[in-house]
Amino acid sequence: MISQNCNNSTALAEAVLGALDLLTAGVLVLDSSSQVLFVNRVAEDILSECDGLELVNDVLQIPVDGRRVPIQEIPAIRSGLSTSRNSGIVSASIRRNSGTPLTVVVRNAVSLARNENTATTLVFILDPDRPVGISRTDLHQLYGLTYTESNLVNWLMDGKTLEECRLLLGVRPSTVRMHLRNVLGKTGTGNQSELVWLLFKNLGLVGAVAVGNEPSPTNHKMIC
Amino acid sequence: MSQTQMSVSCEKGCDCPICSGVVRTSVGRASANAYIDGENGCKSAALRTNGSPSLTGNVQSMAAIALEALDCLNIGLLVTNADCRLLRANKTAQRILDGRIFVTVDAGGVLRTAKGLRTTPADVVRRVTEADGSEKHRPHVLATMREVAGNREITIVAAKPQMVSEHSALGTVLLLLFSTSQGRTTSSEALTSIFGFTSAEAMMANLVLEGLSRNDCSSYLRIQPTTVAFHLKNMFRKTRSRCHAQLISKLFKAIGLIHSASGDTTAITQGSVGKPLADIEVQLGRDLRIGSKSGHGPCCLPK
Repeated sequence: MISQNCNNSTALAEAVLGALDLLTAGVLVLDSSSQVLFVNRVAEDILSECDGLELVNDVLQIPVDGRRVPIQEIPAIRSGLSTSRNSGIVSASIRRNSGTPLTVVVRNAVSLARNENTATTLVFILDPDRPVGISRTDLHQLYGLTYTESNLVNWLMDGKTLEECRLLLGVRPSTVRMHLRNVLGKTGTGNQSELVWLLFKNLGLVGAVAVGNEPSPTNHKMIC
Repeated sequence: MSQTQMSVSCEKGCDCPICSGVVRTSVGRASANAYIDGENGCKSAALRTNGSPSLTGNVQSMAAIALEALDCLNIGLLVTNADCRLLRANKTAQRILDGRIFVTVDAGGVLRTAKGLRTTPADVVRRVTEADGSEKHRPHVLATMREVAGNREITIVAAKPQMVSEHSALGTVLLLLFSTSQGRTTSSEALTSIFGFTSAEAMMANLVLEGLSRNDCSSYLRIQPTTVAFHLKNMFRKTRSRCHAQLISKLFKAIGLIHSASGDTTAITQGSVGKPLADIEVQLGRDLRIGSKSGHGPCCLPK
């Protein structure tokens, strides 16, 4: 039987680990031999595609010249992690067969440095092709945006131009400009770039939590 | 989670060793709440569901690393109980608490709002704890706090941790704090390798990621607006973007959300003076020489 105290601290630790699952960036914790100790939800998603980054027997590997190399064995990453220059942070862009390259940032974890046996490395993965976006409910809750305004905001965040958004909405240029003006007023931003910046800064790492579960914008008339 | 269930999930995908590895980790995750134990992933996952305390130490150390990972991403994490009493905080959250602008901790360890703000942490925590399991798709609550005078703001994402083991009905609430003034600096090497930016463009990209407009960039770097426009035009071409907002989106999606440059998380903010500014000027001097060598001519030089 676990004592209450121990139980609580384990629950607390699990809660902290669960926080990483809320993020839209992939997070992995590796030991010194590239063995995966922890993988969050998004990282698991990216790895399950087996494209660019692969997990073989729980070892994170990158295909180099036709063979797979554990990530920490790659010379550039190994030397980058061992030098004190740039605080041991290495960023790499990993080519893959489909889509834009993945961005990987590797750095040494220092919180357990007191024990040499548990040297761990943190790996962050960003996939530029993953849709970004904030759920309509969240945008309504935060800034009071309407349905159309939320769609507009999500498209802008995803890198669409105002003209593309106009075509998606099927409205006139003056209408889409009106929507944008209202969004800027509600979010307290001055222009389109500032709006996109604010949203990424505030919600870029948690935004897509619920977007996948929402109906696509095309059938919004029926749902409304 | 039994061994049988694991083999069932393995059959779902293909049976190549790569996929079975992935399935194994995801099974480990499902049973042990995002937690696997290296090569003994399956075994430890099975152990944990039996309520064995043998892995407690390991979960603790993983939690410490998780807090550090959030620090690297410049996200503040506060773990509170249902009464808004602070149980755990990472360094970034500590910095926000120390700032006493948005959230503070009183003598009893309870989170309080700084004066004049409408949103209170207690309110957010109450909303999360009251939300029942029916809102499965949206287990989180959002709130934003804006500084009374000034334009700084933080966004709070509050969520109930998704506990798998039944012992963990502790009633904890996770508060993720995102601050617009917490800068993430992207290394120029990363930007060069992703987009093929020159060092001047990489520096400009960092300013763009800090939310500086064209005019801000030109006055911050003390260069002509035409030079800023020149660099931005090249950045548009290299990132295949057509407007400033699209450039911001592409930069954030590719690298900007993760702090990847050297040093501590010092922000290059509009008002910041001192060391970061001096560094930038040194870099700028070098970049200008590179620029004029490749034929931009003397137009790069500030008047």
